[in-house]
Amino acid sequence: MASMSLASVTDTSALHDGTLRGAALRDGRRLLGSRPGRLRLAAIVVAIALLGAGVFGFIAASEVISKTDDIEESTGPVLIGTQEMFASLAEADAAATAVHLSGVEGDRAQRALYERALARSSASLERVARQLGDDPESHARLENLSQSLTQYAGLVESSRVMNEQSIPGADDELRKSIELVRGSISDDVAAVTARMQDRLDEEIGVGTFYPAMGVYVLAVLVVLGAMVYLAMRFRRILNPPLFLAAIVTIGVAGWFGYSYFAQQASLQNARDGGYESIRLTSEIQSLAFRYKADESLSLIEGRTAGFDAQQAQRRLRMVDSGSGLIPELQSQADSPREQAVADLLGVRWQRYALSGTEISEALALGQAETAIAVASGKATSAFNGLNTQVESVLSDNQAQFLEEVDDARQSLDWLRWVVVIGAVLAALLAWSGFALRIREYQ
Amino acid sequence: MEQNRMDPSSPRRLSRRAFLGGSAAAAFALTGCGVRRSGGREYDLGSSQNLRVMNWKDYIDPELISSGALQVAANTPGFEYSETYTGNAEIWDTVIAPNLSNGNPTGWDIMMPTYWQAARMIENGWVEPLPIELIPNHANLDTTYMTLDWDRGARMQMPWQAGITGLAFDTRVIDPGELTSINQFLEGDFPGQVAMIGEMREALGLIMLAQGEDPSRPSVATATAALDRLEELNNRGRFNWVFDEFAQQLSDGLVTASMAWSGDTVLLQDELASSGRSGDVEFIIPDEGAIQWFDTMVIPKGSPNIAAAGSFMNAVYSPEMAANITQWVQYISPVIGVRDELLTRPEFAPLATNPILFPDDTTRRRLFTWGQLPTNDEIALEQRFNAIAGL
Repeated sequence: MASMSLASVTDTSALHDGTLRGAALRDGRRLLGSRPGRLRLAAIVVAIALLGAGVFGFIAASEVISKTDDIEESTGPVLIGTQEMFASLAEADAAATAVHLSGVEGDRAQRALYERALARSSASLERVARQLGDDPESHARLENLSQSLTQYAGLVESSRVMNEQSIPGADDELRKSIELVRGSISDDVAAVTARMQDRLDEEIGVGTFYPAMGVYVLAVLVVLGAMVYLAMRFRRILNPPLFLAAIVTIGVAGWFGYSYFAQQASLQNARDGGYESIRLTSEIQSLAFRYKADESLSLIEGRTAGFDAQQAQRRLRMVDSGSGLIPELQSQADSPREQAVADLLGVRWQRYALSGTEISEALALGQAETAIAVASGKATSAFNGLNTQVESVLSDNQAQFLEEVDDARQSLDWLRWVVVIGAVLAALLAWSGFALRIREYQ
Repeated sequence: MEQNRMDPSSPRRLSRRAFLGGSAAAAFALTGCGVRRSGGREYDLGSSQNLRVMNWKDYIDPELISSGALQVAANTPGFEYSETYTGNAEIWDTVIAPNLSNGNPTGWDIMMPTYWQAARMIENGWVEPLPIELIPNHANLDTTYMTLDWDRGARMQMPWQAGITGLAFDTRVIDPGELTSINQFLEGDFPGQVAMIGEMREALGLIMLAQGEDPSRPSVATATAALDRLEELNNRGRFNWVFDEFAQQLSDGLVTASMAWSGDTVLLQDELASSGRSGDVEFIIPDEGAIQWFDTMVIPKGSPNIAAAGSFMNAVYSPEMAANITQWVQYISPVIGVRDELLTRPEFAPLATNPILFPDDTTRRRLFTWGQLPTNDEIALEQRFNAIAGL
């Protein structure tokens, strides 16, 4: 019995649905059967097309703005912050090695330099982690970096204490710390940098701009179609509100295009003027650090085999007139200031390389003490000069990069408002264009 | 303004080396004008204004100014050099803070505050960035000055001269080797008083070293302990408080030993040698270490002659010009290449081997630069120091 009752209820509902559908069809036929009805329907279609273009435009504008914001607030600062972190760590490492090489008493000034540089490095890492945003892979790398930094500080400290107390193994602890920076830490920094570079490329990319332009073209065609339809029906060439709706839509698309291309031009400048130099600077820094690290290891281990040839290759990579990193940086300088700072970097490198040559020569002559004295004094000082000069180049390029990104962001300032207000205005105008003809007909 | 009270230097301090007697400040102007565009910034070289440099008294060879050699080297259209930087506190109170805190220019294009005062100016945003593109000789800056936390890469200031605050004594009264440590200076049984320079960071720094503390990493506790000892010794009438008069007092035999600035002492030694008293005064870096400081060139905010200031800095950072300055002031030059340059000048070659002018690595490791404490703590320390020293 229960099942029968249910069946009867279901049957009733089906009957009710059928009645509704029939009523809707009758309403539709009545709407299309009269001219005002057809005009109202056309008005709805045109208004929906215009509002739809507005919604799509809003989504596209939001995406462009959001990517630019991300470059300004996350990708750019992380890219630069990572290099700053590595610069500080390179300084810390050079100082720690100088302290170690200075012997049992150590070098208090270098020790203070090491502590300050390590603190700066940790602070940079924290800042980068805050700015990184939602990027699990990079966060994992930063987590590694954080652990490595702690491990590094521990190794340096244990080397210092062992050195002070003349406990064997101090050299080994320092060697491990240098290898940690040269290996795991450098790899993590390079990975985060590469990831940020990819992100930058993706964020500068076109995205949904061209589809949005396509939608705007369609919307304008719909309005134009409506104008033709009305002109044929009412034998009037011009429908002012619809004409204005078309103009407003074209205007919005034009504004969007202008803002987008201005944004792209600024981002391109940021990439060419700032980012490319940042990339080069980070390569220079990394190469200089490897040079320094190998020099330190060579001194600690008393190993000279293969060292000279390897260092000579690095020197060539740095200053070769055809493919050297420093000449490339100098050629990319696009202002007298950048040129000057790149030139200073070249001078600082030459000075450091000269001290490296002195160390090599002393080692070749078996004068380990002389080599160590040069390494812990003149060479460390020259390396610090180079390293801080790298920071200066980074800082200048960072300023230029962020300035251009800021320009890019400013060119998008009113875009969302223009898209939304333009779409609503165009839809209202289109509706009133149809309403005008309906009133005339009635 | 609290910061106005932060410097213990009293107006009595006139210069790093005023005992020699001053040469009058030279001021002259040449015509010249133009606009230089550089890195998107536009610098007005100024057609009616001279490059105006304010320095400590006797901190450059007057001949370099009066002959116009420095002006020609700097290629500045006009040049006004004044030796009216009479003390960090005084200039802060009368020129720097009143103008810059209200957004007004100071009337100077280059000033020479001591490093810690320059750091505060930079922190307050009262200094123009250096026009690096006009200073290729920035490459000659000793890298020690590029790793400062308050101005990484020396982009806001360029050191003028550095010095060591150690001890000097009259060898007619104290035998060389008899005084080697700060503790001996403070407590030793020497006749009469010893002279103490009224610069808090240097005086407290030396006492902290004597107490086994590191003045490059001061804390309120270690600084207070040093002040306590200073007060106790002062109450015993141990000190004669001085500034640059210490050299004259040593020369005149008014004190037997003094806390001493290296450059002033080297010049005193030269003076004494020329009057047949060679070896009467000896300068030492005590066993515990000594204090290092530097005065530095900054371009105060609102200077209309940034380009000319850059040219001036470039000129004084050429090894030749820097050697000219060093051979006269005899302080530590922050310019790489000065030593080699001096070696080419037979008359001044001995300076190149003077460890006070060119400290070797071992000596450098015994030099300490006062580390910064929070401003409020430093002000409190200064107030107490001034009260003890009667400044």
